[in-house]
Amino acid sequence: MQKGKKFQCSGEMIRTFTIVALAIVFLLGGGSFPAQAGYPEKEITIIVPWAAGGGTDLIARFMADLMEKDLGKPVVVVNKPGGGGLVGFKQIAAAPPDGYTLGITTNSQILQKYSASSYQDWREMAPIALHNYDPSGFTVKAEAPWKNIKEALDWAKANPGKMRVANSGPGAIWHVAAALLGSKTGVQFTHVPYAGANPASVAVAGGHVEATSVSPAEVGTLVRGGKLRILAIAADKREPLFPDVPTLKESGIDFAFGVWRCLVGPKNTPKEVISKLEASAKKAVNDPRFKDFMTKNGFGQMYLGPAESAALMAQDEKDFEKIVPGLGLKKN
Amino acid sequence: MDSIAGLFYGLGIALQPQNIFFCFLGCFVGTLIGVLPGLGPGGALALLLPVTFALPPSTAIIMLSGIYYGAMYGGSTTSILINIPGEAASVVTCLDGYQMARKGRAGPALGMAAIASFIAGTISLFGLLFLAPPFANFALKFSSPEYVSLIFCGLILVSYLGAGSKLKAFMMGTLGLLLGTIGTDPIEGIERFSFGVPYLMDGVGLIPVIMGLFGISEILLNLEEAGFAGILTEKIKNLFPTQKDWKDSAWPIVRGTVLGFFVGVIPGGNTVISSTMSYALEKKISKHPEKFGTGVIEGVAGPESANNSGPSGSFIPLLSLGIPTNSTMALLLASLMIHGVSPGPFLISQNPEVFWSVIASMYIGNLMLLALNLPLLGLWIQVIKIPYAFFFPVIFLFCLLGSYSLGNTVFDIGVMIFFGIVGFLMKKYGYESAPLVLAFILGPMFEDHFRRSLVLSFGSFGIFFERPISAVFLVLAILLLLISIFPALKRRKERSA
Repeated sequence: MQKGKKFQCSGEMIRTFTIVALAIVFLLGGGSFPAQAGYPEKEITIIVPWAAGGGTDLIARFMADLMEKDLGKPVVVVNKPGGGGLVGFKQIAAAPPDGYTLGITTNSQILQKYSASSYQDWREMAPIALHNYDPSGFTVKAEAPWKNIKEALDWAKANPGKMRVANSGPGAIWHVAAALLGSKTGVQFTHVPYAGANPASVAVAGGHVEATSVSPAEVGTLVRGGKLRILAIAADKREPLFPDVPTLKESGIDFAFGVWRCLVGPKNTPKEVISKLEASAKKAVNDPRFKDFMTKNGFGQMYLGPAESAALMAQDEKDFEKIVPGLGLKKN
Repeated sequence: MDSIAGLFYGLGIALQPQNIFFCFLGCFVGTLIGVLPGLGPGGALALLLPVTFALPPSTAIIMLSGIYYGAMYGGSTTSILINIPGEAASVVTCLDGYQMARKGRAGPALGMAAIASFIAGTISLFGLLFLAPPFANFALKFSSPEYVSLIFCGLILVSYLGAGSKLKAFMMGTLGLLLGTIGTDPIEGIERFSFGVPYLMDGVGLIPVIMGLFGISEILLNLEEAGFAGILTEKIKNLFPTQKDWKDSAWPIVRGTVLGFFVGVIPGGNTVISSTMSYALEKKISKHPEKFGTGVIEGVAGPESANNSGPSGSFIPLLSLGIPTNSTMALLLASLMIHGVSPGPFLISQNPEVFWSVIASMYIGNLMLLALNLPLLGLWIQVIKIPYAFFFPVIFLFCLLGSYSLGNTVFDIGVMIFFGIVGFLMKKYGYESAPLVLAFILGPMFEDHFRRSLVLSFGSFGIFFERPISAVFLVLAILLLLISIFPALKRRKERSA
């Protein structure tokens, strides 16, 4: 009897709770319907289309932490790896354009249009804040005979196909970088794909290939360890991490190319939401803690707003259209 | 700082209360996930990585590496008691460990597994301590041709493994190789067998496949056998091995330790390979190879030493070069990066506190693990003894969580369940999963390095013989092949005579 009564009692309590809870949900839900006025009102999710622990993920997590403090609502990073990023790109583009689902993309998304069987058009996304830029470098073994980029390219010209350039994967951004450099200078490289920038740079240090096109940041440890030497970087300005390394432009080669990372939302995200997010991202990128983190990990620093980011994306698309189909990557 | 001074400096940091606590936590969680089938150290590290964000770098790495080597200890318990490898590296421990248990010798098997693990873990740390600094230059000599020859050598060693039909093992190996071709081609970037499914563009995930073949299939098989519990219900006695056990195990432990350490050092080498190789080696040089698979203690001692010395070895290329040798090491690399420590030739001079305290903590951790695994064995057995009605849903839940957490995708859960059903059918019809999994891991690595070697050599096959390290492995592989064919030929001659 006692038990039965207890049960009834708790059943009633559950019912009461449910009604109260539902009422609260309705009130809040109803109240929040005219959106954006108080954006953000709930948790924001940032989709990282690559695995946890990679460069894109590390930067996204650091930025999310700073944005969370600024926006006053949780900013959560969720990794959705797969298909070289395609799984995540598709989810970002397909998310409701309410500012609560954002994502990170890089120029590899644009590259997939020319190198993969399917791709996600970047125009289905709304750029918010480009927060990192790493130029391609031309790095050789410390004991290599070439003193500067000119000597190396001259040797490569005299020995067609003998200069083996390691990249971070077939059709990956650094493969394209080396190919673009080759076509710009009329040099024929042999491209050697590795499973990432790390094995590629170690292959150069071990003397298994002549050079690599990965970024200065990615070869940083081995350069400081005296195993590798960067001959030049494909950037407009010298890299603060390696102020002694000249740019290709200084050597008379008009070529700048790099990988960037950009915070985006789905297309049609309201303007007010974008500008709120942009302001918060900009604040995060300019935070000394963020700058310190980027320097410590060797990530290149750059900031571009929505319009400038979109312009860069369009430019990359044009470049890729010219070069990638000729790379010999078989698109099926 | 020389190695001895470094060790004492490291002990000073590792013995701080906070670090001892997290070392213990890592070892405890490691043993637990080692004991629980389905969830391996990789999945557990991925799940716990975010927890370490707030910790100082040394503490974080101390805890995370504790999970890794702790899992190696725990993995043997389930292998011996219920014939399910707690994690992939303990696959071969099942072969003889479970048979020992069925003969009522579960105690010595468990005891020997823990003691062999401790000896191997402790001795191999000396290797790490003294070899890490000068190692960097040697590892740089390893390029694709060396990997090709090494994997070739490994595959030949693995071919000894199959306890049942060689033909069935060969079929499963081929299936594994085929499975490994799914995804983007590593050299030309062509998509193979992905049928436009983005999830398949990077290939089929290893961990869902392993969880399916080793975890789910086991659940299904046992469900079918209506209430049968493979768990040994009798009391486990005599944890301490007999004098004869010691005599039989001494050399396998030494060989397993050395082998495991060096396989761990080689990029791409992991504890699955080292324990498998150790088992094959012991079987090969044994005076009674036919007894392997029926419950001989060497078949437990060797592989268990090999998979416990592997992690120490793997730390060498990770710390001195920043090269993760396997997926678990890749997660440790990620956590180092999160904490602003960049591994490489300068890690030891730039972050001495991280390098030395992690090594020192591993001595402490191995002691803790011996304590966790021997006197507390009862606790882990209780964990396993939980009735299957409760146990299965929990394993299943862990598998679901683990496979989902890898990429936050339901697709991996689907892969896991699919391979669970495949594994169930395989077990029912007497096909082994080990050759499938090994071929699935090694096949893509072999292809990648083989084709890259030919790009590097501008198409010449001579590259495999011209390079000394590669040539040594190839000669070794050919010798192994001859040794294995010779007895068969001899037998045939005798028969015809």
